Amino acid sequence: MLSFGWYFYYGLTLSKVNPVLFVNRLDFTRNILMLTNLQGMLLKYFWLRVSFDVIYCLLPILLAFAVLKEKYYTKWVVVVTILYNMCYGIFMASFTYISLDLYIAWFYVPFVFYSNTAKGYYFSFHSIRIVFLLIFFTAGIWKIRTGAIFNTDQMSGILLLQHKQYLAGNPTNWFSQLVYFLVQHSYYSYVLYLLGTIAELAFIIGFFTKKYDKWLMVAFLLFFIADYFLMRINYSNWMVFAGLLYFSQLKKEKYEI
Amino acid sequence: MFLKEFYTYRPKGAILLVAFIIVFVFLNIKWGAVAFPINVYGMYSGKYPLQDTQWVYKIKTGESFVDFTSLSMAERDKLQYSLDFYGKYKSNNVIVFNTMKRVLSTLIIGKLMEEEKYTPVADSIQYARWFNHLLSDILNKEIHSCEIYTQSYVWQMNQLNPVATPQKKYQFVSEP
Repeated sequence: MLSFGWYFYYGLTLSKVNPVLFVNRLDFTRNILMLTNLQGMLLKYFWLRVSFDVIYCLLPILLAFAVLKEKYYTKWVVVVTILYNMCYGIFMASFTYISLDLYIAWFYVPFVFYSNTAKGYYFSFHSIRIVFLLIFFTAGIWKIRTGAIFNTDQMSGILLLQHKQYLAGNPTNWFSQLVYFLVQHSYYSYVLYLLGTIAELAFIIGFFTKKYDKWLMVAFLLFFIADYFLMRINYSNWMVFAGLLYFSQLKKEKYEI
Repeated sequence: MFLKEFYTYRPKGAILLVAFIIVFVFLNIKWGAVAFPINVYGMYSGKYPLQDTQWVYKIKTGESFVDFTSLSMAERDKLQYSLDFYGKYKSNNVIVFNTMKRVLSTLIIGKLMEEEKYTPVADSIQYARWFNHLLSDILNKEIHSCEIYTQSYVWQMNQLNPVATPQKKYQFVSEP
């Protein structure tokens, strides 16, 4: 709800954006979904955009209610939430600048509640935890594969691209000065990039043991904070992933395994 | 081991998880089209040379230019990326449509893809109205006309320097 509140406040919901065009991507799921022409209807009808927002906001509440009250229809709420969040994320990413990546948390995490047995919950939880670890670990691998990690100017180039509007507009205020300092001193910014990559690669540890999950969670939170304050990217949608690392230490015996 | 325990408990679930991991890794190695939720999560893995020319938007309303630094991060991004999208969406959507239709033609899905659903064009008056409305919301004042310029910058002598004169890219005029 907090995350949705941020997006609502800044007018980043379907009904507030009121889009007039969309940008497609090379994504099979997106293109298959577009066969329905929902994108055309969303462009045309305001009431549909409002309905999409309202349902997106209400489904997690319904899910929480169904899980806490152990309702017999929980499984269906989970499936609907997953599919609906997928649609919502795909269309938001088509109509706005928000990356589809930011919506994956609300696609994966409801799956944790799919099973209505303790044992099933344990396996759902850890399956999604593995997927989360995989996302971060492959991000680290990509930086090696593209050679980005071997470029000492990498972070300076990223900061320049990310904040060019800001630097060109007012090069003298404190944030511009901070960005300027990091761009000018490539080694400092490179150390940040290197540490970030090492942290991403460290997520491989989670495949073999849960012992260091709290440390991985700290790395994840630092990633979130740095992205918000330095890169000015809001990953608050992903905060729910932190729970996968925080609660992973629960004893197997509790789940009758 | 988790996968072994999972397999004992629910073989289909464990096989599904392994299959997901394999597809995830495969699509990451291929690095082409993706299939949500399986994506390439690069997180700034591309190369960003410091020497690249940076294109910056300048938005003129009346006699003054919009000060991007006075805006919130979301407002700044909304303006910047809306203009980016407007500049590329037509050609981008046609390329994506043709590529996806060709790939999906091996299945029946490709034949069901209709071009008008994938490549609608917003008319310029409609977009001008939309953009001016966005600008009015952000700047908190009525705006019915604005001019968009692009200015190139390069990193030289340890700072971002403008090169050449700003070029007028669009003019958005909407009825009051």
